[in-house]
Amino acid sequence: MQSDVTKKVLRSQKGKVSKRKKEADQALLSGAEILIRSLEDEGVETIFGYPGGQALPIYDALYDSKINHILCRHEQGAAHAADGYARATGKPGVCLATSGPGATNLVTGIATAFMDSVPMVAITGQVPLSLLGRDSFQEADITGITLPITKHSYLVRDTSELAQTVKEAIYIATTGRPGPVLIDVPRDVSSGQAEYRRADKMNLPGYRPVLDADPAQVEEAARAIMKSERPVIYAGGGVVISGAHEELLQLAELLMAPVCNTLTGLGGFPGNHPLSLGMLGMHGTKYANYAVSECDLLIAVGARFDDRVTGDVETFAPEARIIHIDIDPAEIGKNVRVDIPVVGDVKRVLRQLLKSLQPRLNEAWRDKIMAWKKEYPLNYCEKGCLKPQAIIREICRQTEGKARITTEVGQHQMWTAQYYTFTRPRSFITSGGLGTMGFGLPAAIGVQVGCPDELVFDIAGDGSIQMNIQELCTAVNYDLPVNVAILNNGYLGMVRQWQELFYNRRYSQSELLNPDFVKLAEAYGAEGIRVTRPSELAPAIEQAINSSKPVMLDFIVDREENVLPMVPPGGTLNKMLG
Amino acid sequence: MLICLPVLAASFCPGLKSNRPLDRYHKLEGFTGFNNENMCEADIPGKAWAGAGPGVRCLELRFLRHNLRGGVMMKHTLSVLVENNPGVLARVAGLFSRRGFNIDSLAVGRTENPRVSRMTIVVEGDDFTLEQVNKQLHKLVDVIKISDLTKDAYVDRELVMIKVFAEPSSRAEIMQLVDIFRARIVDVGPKTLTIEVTGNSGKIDAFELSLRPFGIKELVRTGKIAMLRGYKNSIKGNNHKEEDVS
Repeated sequence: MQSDVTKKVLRSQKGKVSKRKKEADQALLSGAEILIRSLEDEGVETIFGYPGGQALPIYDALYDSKINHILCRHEQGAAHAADGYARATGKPGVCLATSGPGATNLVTGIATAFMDSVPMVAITGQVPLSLLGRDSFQEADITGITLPITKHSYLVRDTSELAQTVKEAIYIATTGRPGPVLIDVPRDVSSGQAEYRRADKMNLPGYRPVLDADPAQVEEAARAIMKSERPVIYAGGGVVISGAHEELLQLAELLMAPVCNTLTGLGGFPGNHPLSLGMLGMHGTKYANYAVSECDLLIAVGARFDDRVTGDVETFAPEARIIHIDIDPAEIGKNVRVDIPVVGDVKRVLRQLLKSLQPRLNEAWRDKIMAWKKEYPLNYCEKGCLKPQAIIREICRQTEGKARITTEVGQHQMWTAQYYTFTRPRSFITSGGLGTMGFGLPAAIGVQVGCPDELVFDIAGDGSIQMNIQELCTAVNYDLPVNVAILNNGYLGMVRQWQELFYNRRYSQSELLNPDFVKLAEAYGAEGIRVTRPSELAPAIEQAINSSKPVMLDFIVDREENVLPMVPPGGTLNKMLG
Repeated sequence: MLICLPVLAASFCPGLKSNRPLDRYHKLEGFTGFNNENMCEADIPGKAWAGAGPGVRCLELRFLRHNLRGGVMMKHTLSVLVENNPGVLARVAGLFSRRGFNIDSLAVGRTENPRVSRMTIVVEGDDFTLEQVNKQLHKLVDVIKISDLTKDAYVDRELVMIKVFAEPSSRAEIMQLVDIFRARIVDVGPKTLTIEVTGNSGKIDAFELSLRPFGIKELVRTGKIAMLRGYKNSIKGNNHKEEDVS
């Protein structure tokens, strides 16, 4: 038995030791703590992720952090959720996964963000440096795998580099043309110790995004605009990303020039504006495609002349001089010849440009476009069973075009682009470049996290929704009242449409046997509503909007409805089917 | 240290490159075959094609081909400054293969600043391709600066080491060739000589060709390295003429 004195001494020694340890702790932090602290200091509020072996130190540091972590049910879901969050808020989306399979599951999400220029930081655990390259358990060369689909990537080799790396990664992801940046953190780097010093300056001699355009180019563009008789503005996702929607509206109204949007550009110009022509390209409106085909000046703003927009590049806008405004010099002249390139941030360039322009109006051109709009509106046969287009129109009517809409990929995505009237930027969130099925539901979760007070709809197909349906549990878990509207036709609709049109109706592997989505929703703890008749449509959507739970709407629609009009792949824009 | 990828480079452009590298010289105007004169003079551009600018450039300008777009295919020598970070070579090489650009050769080494490396990339393409190569390279965060040396006067060099069969009867002849090409014998074996020679690709091709009859046992060749000529900087101060004095 110890005497009281000994006990006292022991206690005081213990106290000393812990105090000293505490002092040392204040000076030295673990790599994981530095990582999380740096993210906090950069203003990151939410991380979407999924833990695992090599990410454990990071998750341990996250336990004490004020950062809100959303546990998705699949790493791909985490990446898409971070993507949706970033697209809705404009802030960088952060996702976190472990090494090996965790990291490779992020790949589709990273590629999706890369193609649509979304600011994202993906953090992956990695096996310790000493085990790198030895085919260790759950080892994958994720920096190598993601090399072509990231704007930049880091494999951190020293704990003391973490703070600087995080700062640079967020800076690169969010500036210039945004894009995903990957940080691979070996376990010994995250569990090693270093002093935390907030990084203050960047060391990136090779990274200098051009923001202000060359005034001479802007002047030349202005001269071309003032000379043009039949101008058309072709506005892409760059308008939304750079927040140039107001400048775009001013430009269009000043010139009385019609505006057509790309898929990702929808919402960058109010869809209910008389000058709006909706979407152009493969499934664009006829009047948008006619306008592009007959214009004498095409002003491309933050768009990249994707093949789904141009069709055959040789016959694209054949009579037009082309002004191309983009922040990425590599986009200029990549797909089509450009007459007047203007490299710079779209918002700044438009401001510069507006200063040298005077109001203009070519009545004949305006009347021609109005006539096209009247003569060739988007339409479908409303008779008979439930039509997918009618569902989108009804959702648009009830939400007054103000909901945040995400989609998967396929027919439903095109119908949403055609029949939902987007009136504000960042309200349409869809995988445009990569065309990722399974994007919509996790993205909707990210959107709802970023915009908790807004109404979020994921418009889905019965095929796409099953690619990431597990994320319904995430929505239930975090009380995120997202609404999922499944346009259920029992087919991979777009595949079936192409098989009908180009493969002689040989429906190879495109018919689907589906689960009972209502029961499935209920099993996840969400609400499920099935709609089979047009009369049930409006009340069902109302019920979903008013519900505080995630709702899955299973719309049983016309099975063989096609997306029209359609420019066959590689075809000429003004020669459309339907 | 040099990391060179001529083999890798060749695999990027199957069908475009002739298996016989010397074929192309036969397409040159007024080409009459290799002789001592043009082999050596090739290395002294100012003399070989006086008044027509630097010789290498002249040589390559005359060798024109057309691609499917109708653009003129031309060889360009790009000098690319990169941050000396791990993986930077993979980023650059990956970019070329991914975007379908043809690399003829790639040489990497540190510069006077240990944090910065210089890549000398020889790429063949028309103006459109070159513009894209340039812009896409610029997008890499690790790339600091790119200059297309082909637009200016520059000096370029390759180093090759050739192990050639050298029976006593042929040694004298080989050594004579070594002399003519200003090459050096760096190793002597019982039946072989190992020779190093530096110069531009024309000279090296010519040297290789002239050794071929003796039987080449092994050949290793670096990628091209290149540097702008100095007169651009010194032209203001004094009017002295820069010459290739190798």
